[in-house]
Amino acid sequence: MSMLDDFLRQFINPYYIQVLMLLGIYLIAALGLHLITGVTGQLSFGHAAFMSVGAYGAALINLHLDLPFLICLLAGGLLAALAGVFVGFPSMRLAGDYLGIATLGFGEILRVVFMNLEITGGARGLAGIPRETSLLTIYVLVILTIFALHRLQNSRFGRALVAIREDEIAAECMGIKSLWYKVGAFAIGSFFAGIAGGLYAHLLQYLNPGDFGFARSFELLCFVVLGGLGSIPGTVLGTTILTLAPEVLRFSSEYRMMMYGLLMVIMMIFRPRGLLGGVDLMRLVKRVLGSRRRGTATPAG
Amino acid sequence: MSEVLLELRGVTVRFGGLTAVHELDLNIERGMIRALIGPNGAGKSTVFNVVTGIYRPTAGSIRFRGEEIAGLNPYHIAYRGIARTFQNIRLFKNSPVLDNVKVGRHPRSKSNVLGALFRPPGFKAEERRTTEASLKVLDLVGLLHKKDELAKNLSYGEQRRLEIARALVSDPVLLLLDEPVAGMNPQEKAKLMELIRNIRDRGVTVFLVEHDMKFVMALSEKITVLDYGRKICTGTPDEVQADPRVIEAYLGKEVG
Ligand SMILES: Nc1ncnc2c1ncn2[C@@H]1O[C@H](COP(=O)(O)OP(=O)(O)OP(=O)(O)O)[C@@H](O)[C@H]1O
Ligand SMILES: [Mg+2]
Repeated sequence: MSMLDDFLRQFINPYYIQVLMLLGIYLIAALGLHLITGVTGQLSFGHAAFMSVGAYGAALINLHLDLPFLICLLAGGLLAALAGVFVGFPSMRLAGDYLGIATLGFGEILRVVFMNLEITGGARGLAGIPRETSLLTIYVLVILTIFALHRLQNSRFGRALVAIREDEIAAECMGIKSLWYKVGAFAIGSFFAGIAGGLYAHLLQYLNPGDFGFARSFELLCFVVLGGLGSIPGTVLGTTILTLAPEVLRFSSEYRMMMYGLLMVIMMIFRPRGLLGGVDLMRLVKRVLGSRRRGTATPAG
Repeated sequence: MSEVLLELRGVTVRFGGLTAVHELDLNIERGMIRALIGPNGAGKSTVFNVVTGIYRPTAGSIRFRGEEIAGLNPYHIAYRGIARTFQNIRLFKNSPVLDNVKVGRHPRSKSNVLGALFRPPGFKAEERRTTEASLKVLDLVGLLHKKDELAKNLSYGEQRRLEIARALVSDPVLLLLDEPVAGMNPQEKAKLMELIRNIRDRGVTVFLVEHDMKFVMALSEKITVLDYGRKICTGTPDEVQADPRVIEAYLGKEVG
């Protein structure tokens, strides 16, 4: 698998290969978030937390059970999906929009848990993970992710998700059981975050709970929003620009968050649909903030 | 007497202290064009919302084809064959016209996540049927040439017709139309009247709420009048127009 990497290393600075690998990992995670936020319209502020479930899950399974890498990766993805159901189901069952808060809380709780567990190495972090990730593996998985999402979006399932984003009450009147679909989309999006996390663990060979904090979740949200909510090419573009720009422009990491914040404000003003998207971020935020209990405050007629 | 398709008995809907619908009894017979009229705030849309499961009735029973549906969720009711449009248009605005209609086909199709990912033999056939059915209803409402436009770019009248197409594509037994001609010009209204008759002739029972009296009186076979959530009377257009209580309800409202 790593023959391609060795080959490329003769021509490209290994540092850039590393950057390309991280880009691929973020692409997979961001595409997962694209399904949740861009397609289904559910704001998640804890996507990195689901990455961490996959990262620690895959790494620990690899370290303790010594299973093949791809199995560990898949297991990490499935654990993240399970966590998605665990967080998504109760918070989306409540009328109104509690997912944002729940995901934020989940991320913080998980960080503290990983920080204190013996098995995850506590605050020291988890070291000694074998390096199994290669450029080829990552980009094969990026292509598979795009392929899977493209198929999902162009189906009855995907149309139902968009309908929920656009008008949940109308969607329910078309026979769509919105809770199931929202939890489904959330679990699938979290699955991809988990896969990305597993790749990350086996690339950096060291995990620290701080790697998956709110800053990273916000970063992923920026990737999806910049390119344009609801668009796969938009998500790829947004992620690529925001991952490579700091490398090219040599931003120091302290300024990154500031830059993202600024960029978000500029986008909201001048290009609320993102670079390629069809969905208005402002409208989504307003809807989420404005949503109240079903049946008492949303007359449908 | 033909079969009663939808039967409301003693249906009451209360919002806090406000009684929007009060002990309403109502029968919708199969194959009819049936109307519900009344002044603003009379509770007409609330009746639709309670029949389609958006609100739960505070009291009373709602039977559809003999089965109790009060308290079921909107998605269950859609599967049973009740489709609707909304007074304040609720389209999937950022989706193409064709996709809007395809969503309406949801209860008549089955494919799920795994089907979407692995595309077994039945998947393509179902997608084709969905597309065909959607194009057919778009043609019926005269929007076939707009199928690739985004819903939000349609004119008001077109959006109303798109909502009807989206409801029709599920092959409903009962179609609820909440103010279908609001905001339409006379030509559009005439066309829509023809369309609704056409829909009824295809075997779909139509139940509509409408403020345009000329339209309602010309179209409906039987009308129920609601005022302050209470039924005033039910009858043919002629009977209803001659009823002094109806005149009072409307005049009283307009003057006061
Ligand atoms: N979700 C709700 N919460 C509180 N009050 C409501 C709600 N929905 C409707 N109402 C009230 O119930 C009454 C009936 O409303 P409804 O929308 O059914 O009237 P309508 O006959 O459809 O009127 P219009 O012709 O203006 O559409 C009104 O007083 C309305 O304010
Ligand atoms: Mg109304």
